[in-house]
Amino acid sequence: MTKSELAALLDHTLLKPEAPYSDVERVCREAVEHGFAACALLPRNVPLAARVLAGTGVAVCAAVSYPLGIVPADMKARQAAAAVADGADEIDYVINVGAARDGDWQTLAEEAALVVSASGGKVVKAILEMPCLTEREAREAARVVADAGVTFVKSSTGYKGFKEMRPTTVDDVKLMVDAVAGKVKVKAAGGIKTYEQVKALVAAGAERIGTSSSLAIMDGWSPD
Amino acid sequence: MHPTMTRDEIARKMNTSLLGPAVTRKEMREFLRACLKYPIKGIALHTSHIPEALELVEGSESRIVGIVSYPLFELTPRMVADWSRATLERGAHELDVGMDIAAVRSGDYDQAYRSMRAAVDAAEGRTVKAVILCAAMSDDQKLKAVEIAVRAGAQYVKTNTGYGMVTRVDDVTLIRSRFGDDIKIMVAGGVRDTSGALAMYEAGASLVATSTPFKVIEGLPGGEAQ
Repeated sequence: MTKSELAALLDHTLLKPEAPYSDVERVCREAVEHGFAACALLPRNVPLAARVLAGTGVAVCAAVSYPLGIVPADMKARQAAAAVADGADEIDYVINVGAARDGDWQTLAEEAALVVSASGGKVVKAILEMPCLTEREAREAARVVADAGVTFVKSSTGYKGFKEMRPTTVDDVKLMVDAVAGKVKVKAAGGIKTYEQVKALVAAGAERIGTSSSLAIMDGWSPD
Repeated sequence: MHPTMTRDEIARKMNTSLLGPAVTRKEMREFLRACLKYPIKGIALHTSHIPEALELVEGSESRIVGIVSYPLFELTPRMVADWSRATLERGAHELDVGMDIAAVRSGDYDQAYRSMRAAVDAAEGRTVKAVILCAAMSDDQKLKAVEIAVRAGAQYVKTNTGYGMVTRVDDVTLIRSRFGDDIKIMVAGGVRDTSGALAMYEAGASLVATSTPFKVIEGLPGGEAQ
């Protein structure tokens, strides 16, 4: 892939709770400079990012119900709607991972439909948190949210605060691609730090990569 | 040391939580039943689990704590207001609410105040603990954050989210020396055992939150509290 093709795959991510406004502005400028797909940020940073990124072509992506998705669907949907009103172009929401482990697929279907509807036609990515699920649970969760109308399924939050979370793998991407059967796209995120990883994940079918290491990945790019 | 403190007495000065990323309802029920062996003051749970948890704690002294803008201090003031109301409507007895610490660190104190005030207004007199992040703040920033919590009307300041963020005894001393009784202190982060908890009470903490409550409680002499 060319360097600009690589950049266009990346969601440049800043989710550090203590990051001051100046870091948010810097990350937005980096995204414009490199031509990244989006800046993925905490909801409270969306208004600032929307001002900085207006007219640049870089999408503002809000992490909704992040990183803990064990929240009633109506709350999640209202947070998504508020983020869109604040200027978000894309919504990355965390599914109710506990419900997935409980086999409560109806909860996942309902929340996906509500979040999609509340997001008013914006891109919606459902974060499955695959490191916490069995293959069977991940497959069913991906299928259910794809049927409910999300734009992407996404492998993981990458959030390590509560437990050490394994990085996203090529097998995760293959499983999602297979489960959604072409209905929706696949985003890989969680522990992605190198260009080699990105190449392998994209070859497996990922169409978007979420990473806090975008600059290092761009530095690692080389012509094939 | 507190040679006269019983297991029940220390439990009444503690909070715990089950907030992992993938908790099932069954895991929540088992955790709560284990906690109810002692009168642990507050138990923080995922919002989806609160209605069922309320039935289980009925008749006990333990209160169910809802979380808002936690653990990443991630919400706008409008979202804080909405999620605080919604979490209380689900039945939470009190709230742990993340302050906008990035606003504090950016010098935007008005934004941090409006966000915390939104939670206090939504709580209508119920207890709000303003969560800050001592582990990522200078002493000046900590004091500014606590001042905002006091001004917004929070009953407690919670020193960290826990989970790898360590609170030092010095943090408690600093807050206590500046604010006295204007706000109570709940220490979270780094307390793993009885002596760790006792040191925090000694320094002026009213509550200690820990993911290892039994290790703290059962480090005190056994026997029935009565």
